[in-house]
Amino acid sequence: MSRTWFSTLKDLLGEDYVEPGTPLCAGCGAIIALRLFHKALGGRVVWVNAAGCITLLIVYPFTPLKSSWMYTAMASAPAGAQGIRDALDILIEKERIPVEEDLKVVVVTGDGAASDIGLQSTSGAIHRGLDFYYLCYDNEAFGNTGFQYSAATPYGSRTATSPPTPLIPEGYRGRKKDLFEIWRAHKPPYVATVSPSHPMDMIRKIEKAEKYKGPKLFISISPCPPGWIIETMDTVKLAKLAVETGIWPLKEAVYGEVHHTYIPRRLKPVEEYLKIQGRFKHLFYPVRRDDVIAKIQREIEEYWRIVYDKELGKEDSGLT
Amino acid sequence: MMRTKLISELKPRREITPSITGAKMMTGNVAAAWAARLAEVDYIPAYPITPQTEIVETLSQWIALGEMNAKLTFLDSEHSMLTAAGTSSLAGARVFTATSSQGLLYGFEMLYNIAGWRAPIVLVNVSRAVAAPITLEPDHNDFLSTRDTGFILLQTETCQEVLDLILLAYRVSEDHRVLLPSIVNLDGFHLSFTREPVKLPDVEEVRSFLARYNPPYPFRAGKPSAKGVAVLRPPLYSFYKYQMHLSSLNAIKVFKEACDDFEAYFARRYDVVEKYMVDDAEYVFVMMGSFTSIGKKAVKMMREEGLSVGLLKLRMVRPFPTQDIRRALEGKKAVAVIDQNISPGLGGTLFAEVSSTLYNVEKKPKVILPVIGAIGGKTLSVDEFRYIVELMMKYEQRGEPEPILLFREDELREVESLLKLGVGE
Amino acid sequence: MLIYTRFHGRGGQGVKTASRILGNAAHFEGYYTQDFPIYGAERRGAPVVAFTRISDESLPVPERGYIFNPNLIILADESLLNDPIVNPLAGLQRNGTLFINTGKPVDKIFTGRDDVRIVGEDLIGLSLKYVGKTILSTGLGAVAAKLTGLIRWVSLEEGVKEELLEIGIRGEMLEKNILLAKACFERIYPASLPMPKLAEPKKIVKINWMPPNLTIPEIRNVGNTRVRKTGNWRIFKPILNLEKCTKCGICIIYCPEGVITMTSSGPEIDYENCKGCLICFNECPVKAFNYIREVEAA
Repeated sequence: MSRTWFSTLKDLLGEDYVEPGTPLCAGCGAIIALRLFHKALGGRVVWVNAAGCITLLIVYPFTPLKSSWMYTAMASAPAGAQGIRDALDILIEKERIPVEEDLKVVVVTGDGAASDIGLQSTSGAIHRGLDFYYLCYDNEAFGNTGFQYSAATPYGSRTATSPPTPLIPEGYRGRKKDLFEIWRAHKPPYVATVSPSHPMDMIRKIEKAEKYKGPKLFISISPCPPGWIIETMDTVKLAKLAVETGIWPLKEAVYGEVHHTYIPRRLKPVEEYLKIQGRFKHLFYPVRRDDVIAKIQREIEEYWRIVYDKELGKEDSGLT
Repeated sequence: MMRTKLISELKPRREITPSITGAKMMTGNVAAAWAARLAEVDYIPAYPITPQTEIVETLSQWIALGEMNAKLTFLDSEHSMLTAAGTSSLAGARVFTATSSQGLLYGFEMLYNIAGWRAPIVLVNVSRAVAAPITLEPDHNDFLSTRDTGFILLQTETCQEVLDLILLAYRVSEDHRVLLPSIVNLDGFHLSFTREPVKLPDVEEVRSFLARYNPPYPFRAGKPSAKGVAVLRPPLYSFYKYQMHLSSLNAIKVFKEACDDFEAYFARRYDVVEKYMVDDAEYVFVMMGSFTSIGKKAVKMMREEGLSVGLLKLRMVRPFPTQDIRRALEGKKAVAVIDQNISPGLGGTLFAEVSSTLYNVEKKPKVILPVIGAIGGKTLSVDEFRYIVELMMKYEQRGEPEPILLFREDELREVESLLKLGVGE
Repeated sequence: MLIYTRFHGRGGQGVKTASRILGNAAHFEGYYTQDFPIYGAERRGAPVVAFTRISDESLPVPERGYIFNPNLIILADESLLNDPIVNPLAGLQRNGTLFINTGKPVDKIFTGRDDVRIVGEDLIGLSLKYVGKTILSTGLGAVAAKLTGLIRWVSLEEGVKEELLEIGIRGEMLEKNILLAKACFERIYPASLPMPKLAEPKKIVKINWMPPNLTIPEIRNVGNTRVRKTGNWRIFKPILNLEKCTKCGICIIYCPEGVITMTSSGPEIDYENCKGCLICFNECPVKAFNYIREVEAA
């Protein structure tokens, strides 16, 4: 079912399904993404959640959601979605409930749950062709437990478990696991990255995904004021910078075929993104770590060189 | 010396025993599958594990042939399987699933969740001892590990009981006075792969005995709800947990009511415990599961020899049938609890539970003997039961019994020869 | 038992650190001490609470858990004072002491309690003066230590050092914090705190079985968070200048809390729930938003 009426930003001002008064941090990036997602999907939704920051959206006796919610366990939200989907399918088939009572099933988890402990369950659900949505809000660490590094933490980030020290001056030494590619390898009908700073891009992707039956998966960058050590007002600004510096490419893959939905004409230097975040402060102060910054920049450029080659003419390259 | 009778000298049995009329030979696993089919379950999340697999294979086949109208989904693990079982139940489906041993433990986190969600699924556990060392043979450690989860726990002795108790489990679990899931346990091999005559109840009668599941607040577009939510106010957590406890206790009454009904429909009588020659016995064995059949045989033989023995079989383990156990065992000279499980550093689980139940009874048995036997597939014979009676009589005179392991001399010889091969000395 | 201290503040204001500074100082002074925070679902900016128990007995503190009957309350944020959910003065003993971090004279602050001593100090001002930024934990811990009347400067100094080193503050920053602690310690007079009393006895009740409509842990009254009024988290208050506003709606789309709605006259902010993140201020393409400190706005 396509909702062509989301043609401009103003169309997004309609019914909101998330009430104010949540217990989440002021300036939380994840809730901006979830709110937009909900607008696009409409109200007949059941969210299926695994442990993470968003779990605390709903603590008895309060829920900001006007829709349904199911907290499962950290490892198995997609299996929880499977149970609800299967139950609704068989009850509708047996004519025990009318079709009007059907729900869209949407998994929502953080990057921690998505990237490893829940990966088996996600892989299983995608492989079985489960008709569901998955929204992963990626704040690049275990935010809920105090910002320990996760498999989605980027190189060079300070976290509670990767403090920069004289022994390990760059902070986190690992690499960010490429969840988009892991999901894409299953060849589901739809996979996309999104950003709360680019609402129309997000909405169009959801509209597109709605046409497919099967797994429809989204990863949203979700700046986190306490974890990223940023001002609460900078959440959207950082999401925007992540896109414009190219560190967070906006893309989609239909049955595995990748297409970038936003190609920066010229990549902003990643330094602009890094330097306003406290989690990367040790790359600039007390000693500027040009080697680390350059390494991060180089990886971004290598990524985009391939994209430009594939999706644009070489002459149109955004790399200088 | 008595001459051994020849088989041919025995009187021929009647052509057809009436109690077996209409019965079919089937394994405990197939009986469990039949129960799910007769209960007309809507949904079966599945994952294979020995010795349970035959159950989901059988169900898969029926569904594929169109003989059964249910949805069966193979999940990616028992953890996922149990998650889907719980959430599908909250969406209003009648749910059946099955596992064993390692699988049960792999999904263990979800058992607490399913019970806490008040999702009345029925889970069949086909007992198998828990690794390490890894084995395929049965004991009750897997089943008893679930005792604090909030599930209603039922134990079976025969293939018929497997089928019947699954039907009873749905009646009890789905009752709004209870609204807690059930585990029906059958011993691996000794029931799962053992064929016996099983009477299949009529589907219309089952439909009448077991009304369609009426979920209190299922997920529906028109009635949104938030389930499985966090509670961070400590009194609230205690409140919900204690309500689970009270609801579990309700299950004793609800089970007994359902048993009366069951008898009226199907002419088979069940209760939370089964007393075998208990009432006039001075020495009583307490045990559960398929090996109670061996215990009954031993009791019968010893009775013929003039020994005043009996056997109390626990059919329901949660809620713990405290009153029924107290009334059955009060005034006895000695009780021996035969645990087919081991809690290293304590002994057996049932011993601890039966003992604490009897402590506040005025006429409590003088001795409660802790016995560990038949774990990891090791079998029992009449010899062990005789030995236990000797011990009960000894401790009745004096002494404080400690848990003992039932181990025969021939078994020790076997272990010694295997060790020699394995260690290579 | 001598001192039951309860600290109230917001996530990020350092009340946990303050409770630990007081804990360290009392420990170095030779008292048996216990300190702990309570974490809930609440996040940065939400009200939080921490505690320090100080005993003159050499035995371990024979108590645990929430302090319901403090004789000393340290309030890091004046805006919490009249918050009905936080209710920071609950259980404060008669003749107990309440410290408020405020720039105003305390006789201008309405607490609704005339049976307690109220002490005020502008810890933000002092922090800006000595440290150059707004750090509340050191000042709160120092003030609390002095108010107990049990702790000498030498013990507090050690207490501040140990705690700040543990959370990674060293060198010049540590020195500045010690100067701040000293200034706070010197400006406050010790309070004569009443001996703690036991809480009122409460009746034990029997819990009976209740039907599933009450005992399934689920919420059917959905979308009910508005009553939580998270507006009390706000430190800064966004103000929209409607004359500059073009009604583009960007502030509405980016507002994490969904507290801005479009009306015929333009966007309207629900201040009862706005947490004051200021994304609206930052993202407005025509810079139609401004902001002021919440305490000034009140």
